[in-house]
This record gives sequence, C-alpha cells and structure tokens, in this order.
Amino acid sequence: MPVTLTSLDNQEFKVDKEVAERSILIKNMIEDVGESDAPIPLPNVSAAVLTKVIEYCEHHRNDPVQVQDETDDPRKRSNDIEEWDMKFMQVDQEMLFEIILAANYLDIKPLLDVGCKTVANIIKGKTPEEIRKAFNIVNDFTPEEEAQIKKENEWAEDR
Amino acid sequence: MPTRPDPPEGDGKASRSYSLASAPLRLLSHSFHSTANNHNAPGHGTHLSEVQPLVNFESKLCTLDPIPNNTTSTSEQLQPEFPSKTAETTNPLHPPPPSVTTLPRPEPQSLSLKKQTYQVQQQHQQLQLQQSFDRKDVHGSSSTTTACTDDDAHWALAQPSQRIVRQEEHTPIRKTKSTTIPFSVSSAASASIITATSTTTPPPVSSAQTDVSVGVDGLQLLDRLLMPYDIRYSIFGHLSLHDIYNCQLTCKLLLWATSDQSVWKRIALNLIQGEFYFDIPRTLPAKIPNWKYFCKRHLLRQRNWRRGEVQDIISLDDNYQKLTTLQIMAPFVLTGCSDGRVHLWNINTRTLLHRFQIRGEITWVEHLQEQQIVAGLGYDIDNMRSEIRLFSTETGEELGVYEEEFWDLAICAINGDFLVASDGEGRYTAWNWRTGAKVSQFKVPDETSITEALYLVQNTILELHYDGMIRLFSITGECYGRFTLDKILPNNQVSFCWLHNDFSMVVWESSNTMAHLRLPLLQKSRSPSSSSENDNPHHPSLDRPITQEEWDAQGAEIYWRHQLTHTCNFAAMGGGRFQLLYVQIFENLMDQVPIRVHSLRHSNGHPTGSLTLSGSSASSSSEAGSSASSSETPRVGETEENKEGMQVDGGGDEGYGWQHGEYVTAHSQNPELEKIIQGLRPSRIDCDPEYIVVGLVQGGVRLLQFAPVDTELLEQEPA
Repeated sequence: MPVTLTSLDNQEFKVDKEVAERSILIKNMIEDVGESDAPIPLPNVSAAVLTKVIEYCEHHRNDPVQVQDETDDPRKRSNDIEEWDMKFMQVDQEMLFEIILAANYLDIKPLLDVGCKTVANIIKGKTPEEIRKAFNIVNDFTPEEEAQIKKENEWAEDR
Repeated sequence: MPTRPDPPEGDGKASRSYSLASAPLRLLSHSFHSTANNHNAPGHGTHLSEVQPLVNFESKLCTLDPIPNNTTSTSEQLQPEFPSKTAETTNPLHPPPPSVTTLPRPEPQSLSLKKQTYQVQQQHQQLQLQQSFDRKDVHGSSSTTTACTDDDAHWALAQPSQRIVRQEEHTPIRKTKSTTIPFSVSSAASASIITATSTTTPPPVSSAQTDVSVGVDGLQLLDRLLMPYDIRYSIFGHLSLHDIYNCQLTCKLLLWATSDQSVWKRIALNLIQGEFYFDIPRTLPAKIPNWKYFCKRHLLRQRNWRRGEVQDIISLDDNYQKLTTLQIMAPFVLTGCSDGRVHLWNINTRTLLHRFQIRGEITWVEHLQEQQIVAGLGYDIDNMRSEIRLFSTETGEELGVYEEEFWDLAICAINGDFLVASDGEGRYTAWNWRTGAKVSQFKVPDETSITEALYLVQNTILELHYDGMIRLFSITGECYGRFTLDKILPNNQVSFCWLHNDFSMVVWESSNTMAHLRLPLLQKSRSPSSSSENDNPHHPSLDRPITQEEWDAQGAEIYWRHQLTHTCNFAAMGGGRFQLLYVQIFENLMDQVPIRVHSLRHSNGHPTGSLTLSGSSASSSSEAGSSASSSETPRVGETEENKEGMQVDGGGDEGYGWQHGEYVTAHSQNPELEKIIQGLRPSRIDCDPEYIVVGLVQGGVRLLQFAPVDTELLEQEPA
C-alpha cells in the first residue's frame, strides 16, 4: 500500500509503506494517524534530498531492522561501508550533509550511520589543514588559542 | 640444560632444589580485569607512618586490624615540583575541569520531540530572517561562493541567523576547562555579531537571497550538520583519538563538537579494546571525573610503559624481611617473607589490611578475592617441613592448617572449593578447605623432572614440570593426560617461568630463550564452576581424559619467542599491554638489577624483518648515582634474535604476538626516582597494568607506577 510523502517544496512522492517505514518517524506518524490517504508532510526535507532518501530505503527495504545497541561495545561496531552505500554516498558534500540531517530527522539509523561514517572517513588521517580544505573552512583560532589547545591535548598525539 | 645461577647460599637444603628462579607460579583466580574498574590513581597526600612490629611472632594466629597509611609516595617526598594531589591548582591555564552537567550536551531526544525541536528551530530561524543581520562572515574570513539551488538557498537563508544562535551556544562551552579558549575572544565575537545585528540596516530579503545564493560557506554547512547530538556522536565516535585531536585543532566549531563526553566515552572504549580480555567499563570508574581524563590517563600510562618511564614509587614497608613471594592483583598486593609473614595490602587505600604468620619461609601465597581468603605455604628449612595455612580476609582469623608428615618442600594450589598439595614426587592430598575435610589422597607416577608448580583449572589438577611436561589429574587422582611441548619447543630444555591468568604461559627454552605459549585447551576451560560453559561445546570441560590427538589438535601454540641478550632468572607478565618483565635476581646487594620490560605488541605495523626501537629517548637524565653497568646499558634495546629476523607469525586477537625484541629498562626521568630504581635489589617482581611490584632482598616492597602523576589528572571533578 503506497503512502504519499510531501517534501518541503511540496513535491509528492508515492512510496510503498514498507519502504516509508524504514523511517521510524514516518512509521510512528502512520501509526498515530492510522489508515489514511493523506500525504505525510516532511517540511524539513527538500525534494532532492527526499529522492535520495527514498532511493536508499528502496534498496534496503528488506534489511533487518537494526536493534539499538545500548552497550556501545566497540567490538560490536563495524566501520565498513557496503559498496552500494559507498556509491550512494558519492554526492557533493552539501547533499551528503543534507542526507545525514534528513536521516537524523526521519530517524533512519542505518542511513545516518552510513552518512556519518562517510563524513568520518573524510576526516580520518587528515591533518587539521587538510580537514579545513576538505570542508572548506578556515582556521578561526588565534595562534595563542591554537598553542593552548595543542598543549592541553598533546597527549592525544603522542605515540 | 638452561643456564641458571645456582641457588644462593643458605637455600637449597631441601631434597628438591629450590632456587630463587623456580619461584612458584601462580594462578590468578581473577579474570584480567579492566584497569578502569579496578585501578584508581593513588593519592599522594599520604604520610609515612612506621608500623609497629607485632609483639608476638611466635603465636599461631597473628592478625591485625586494618592499619592505615603505611605507605609513602616517594615522589611527593622528594619532588617538590610534583605537587601533591590535594593541592589546589590556581594555574589559569588549568582551571578545574568542568562538571559534565555544565556542558550543554543535548541528549538524544524522542522522535516527536526531535521533530518539534527541529521545527521550532526552523521557526526561530524564519523569525531571525525577518530581522536585519550582517552577511559578513562572523569568523572574519571571506565566504566562498558556490552555486546553489533554490533548496540550498532556503537552507542558506537560515544559516546566518542560525550562526548567531550557535555562537551563543558555543560560548558557554568555551568557558570551560577542557576546551579552554580565552573567553574574551568568543564573547567579543558574539558581541560583534549582536552589534552588527542591531545596528545594520537590513537589506531586502531578495538581495539577501541573492547574496546567499552566490555560495554557502563550508563552516555554515558543517555547523548545521553538527547541531544534532546524534550526528556529532555518530561521526566522531568513528574516529581515532588522533583524528579527534586534529579535529580539535581545525576550528572552534570542531573543537566544540568533539567535546561531548559521550564521544570521549566511545574513544575510551576504543582505546581499551583489545587491552584486556574482559570488562569494558560501562560507566566511568570511580575517581575518574570524565572520559577524556580516562583517555588521557590511559594513553599516558601506556606511553610510560613503552618507554619504561616510572612516574612514581610507592613504598610498602612493615619491617620486612626478604621478600620470597609476592603477587599483585588490583587492588591488592600480597607478599610473603622469609620469616613466615604474609602481608595483604590494599594499594588504593594504601592500607595494610592483614598480617598473617606461617611457620617457615613463605614459598607460595594466594588470595582468593571472591572467597575472601588468603592461603600461604611456609617451608621450614631447618626441620624440612611445609605447612599451609588459610586465613579469612574478612575476619582476619585463621581458617585452617594443612600439612602432611611426608612433606618436605611441598607445592600446592587452591580454587574456590579445593586445596590440593603435593610433595613434588607424585603424592597428592586434596581438601575441601571450606569444611577442612580431606577429600582424597593418592599417588601418581613420579616423573624424573621436577614438578615446578600446580594449578587447579576448574577441578582438574594441572601439573607443570621443569622440563615442559604437563599432566592433568582429577581431584581423586584419575590421570587425564600427559603431554609435552616437544612439538612446538623441540629443545627439550623447557622450564616454566610464568603462567598468565588466561593460561598462556611463558617458558624458558634453552639458554635465555623465552617463549610465550598459548594453550587453547586450557584457555577454553579456564572459567571455573560455570555449568553453562561446561555444557557448551565451545568450552570443553577439563574433567575428563584427554587424548594425545585432542591435545595435539588444540595444543600449545607459540605467540612469540625470542632470545634475550641479557640473562635472567625471573619473569612476570601482566603489565600494561601485556608487558613481560624479567630480571636477573642476585643476592649480591652491590650490583644494580635492571628490570627489563618487553612490550608484547605490534611495532609500527611492520611485523617482519624490521626493528623499530621504542620511541623513548635513550638518554638518561639521571646520571647521578648510576653504576657503570647501567650507564652503558641502553635504555632501549633489541635482542640478537631480532637481528636474525626471526619472526613468529600469528598471535591472538588481543593485538599482540609480533615481537621485535624490543625492550626498555625501567627508569625514571626524575633523578631521585632513578636513584631509587638503581638501588632496587629485587628478590621477586610482579606487574599489572598500573605497577611493577618489586619485592626486595633487603626487605620491603616498592610499587613502580606507570600511570601519570599529574595534578591536573588527579584532580577530581567538582560535585
């Protein structure tokens, strides 16, 4: 049974309920509202981003629902990204961020995880200057501030 | 035969040779527990108070009420520049660490709340849009322009006002300690924004749209991305500590974003992953104010171990005679002396908990923490008799005395139910120590080699022989198997020197070649009295005959092997990152005894053929008082074997197994501590992730601390 999602810019998307309910937010909304043909408004997600999100949910529609890991045991955590997900995330940075924000808003944990891992991979192994370049940001520390941070945290760099 | 010094004069009258080298191995009845749970940074505000010796050493029962503060921190006494823990710091660069509650750390919100909050934020931003604001980049940099769609423009419109909001959010955090930035800077920045907002005539919205449509600042994008807590936690939780450090140096936004305690907790768990077999802490250990502190302390401690740099020395003194046995199992240190006294210390509280007396020289002690008992074996050389005594650590009372007339120098083992002892020639006696009842007495075939030690694995007697032979018996004497290590150590000159609590063992093979072995069969069965594990096919019980085939299939395998360039006759294992210590123990009080520490770890990811020396400086800052031998001894060294490129593949999942012959010699950058270290004359050593414990020939116990001694580190979080 399809549900209709309305994006921020009033574009409507018809998706299977099973796909839409990959979003816990939408799932809860559907449960709250009950059976209804009324479109579900998503005023925080633009059409372009929603398109991508729906694409992800479609591809992962049969994945088992992830159980929240309360233990935070690093041994249980995986840092790997599937190949399809990796290609899916090959978008410009702005879109990547929007997808993450949308996944967070819509409560699609696997998509949030993949997106955040992608951002983490951008950061990994880079020097501060390289991180700035990667995100197009500038150094807003004064030399004194920078020196103080280095001094306080040099233990983290020590080998 | 392995070269080994002859037993010192005065020992060895027993029919079985007893030398300092054949110190009894011990079963650590604990799992190798987490430092975070069980080690607390010792305080340094203690004062030395001499404990009065017991009046009556002759009585059978000699116990003491808990005695406070018999320890002293040497560094505090000798190092004025190392302030005591209790001293308050007024250094403006190091303000007290903030309480976690002061950090505006948004908790993960419920779905509906999240949506509402997000909508409220959007509404707020919309409202802000109607007010005038200055498009100038608040961080003083020129904004880059990129093409953006209408969708982007919507978000872009939200950015500047959002930036204003965010700035105010950032400011309180920047006041706090761990992310110390001069508050005046951020507040000035805030002031400038507010000023600009209030005084500048707002441009028409359409032109604002045009301005923003030209490009979106990367910082704005990142700012918006990192606003939700879940996103911050998820991104930075995947990063290493080093990456977090680099993030913090990137810009103020990332400094703020990486300051969440939840992020640091995740980093902490990543750090200790693989360090221990068990016990990843779920909550912050006591006296650890925050997770960043935890990480810092852990890393610095590991660094100090790698470099062999002792940070502090703690003395445990009670008019000791020569230490003949000791063990550290945090938070306890258990010692035995040549005069039959057994001491149980709590090193966290720096208190002597109990003093027990056994007849003879103590050759074996064991502390069962869960059962709250201490057991010790004393050997009376003059009368050639052994006795075992058990004491309650709860009441201090003696629980029982165990001896057999046919004993000379006996060896024994204990677990939660049974006490098993042997005369070393195959005659065994087993008691239920809870009831005192003798449950069995039997004779097994004697072997030509000396029985080095006994252990109880579940209720199976594990007998280790000097030549590397291993025998397994039931409590009633049924032989379960007899195995050798010939297949992996064909030298036939094996002798045991250490049994780790995971049932890996360190052995001497031939002349000063040491090997670390893994015994999967024993390791799988190591959990005691767990019926579920015993039934689990993955945890086979040891209480059954084991065939040679099964032994061979699951038998010993080598973790590492290397030949030492220095002779030694005593070893211990179990320090931070599985350090292996070894010493040459002399009775000669004149010669310095370097304590060499091998780190059993990967070395820069180059497992084969390359040597990487420890990164510590080889220069010693403490030349005063150093003997000629020590000044010539390199601090960081390699063994000969490494030069030959010998490499042992494999190793456990614990991240160690490659060995490159690296070792360091325990030392200190502090001249006074270095002097003390060089004056140590160990008769026994042991270690755990926090300390090397040294029992002295001349009596006394010294704890060499590797965790950092730092006022900032030791300050607790204010309530």
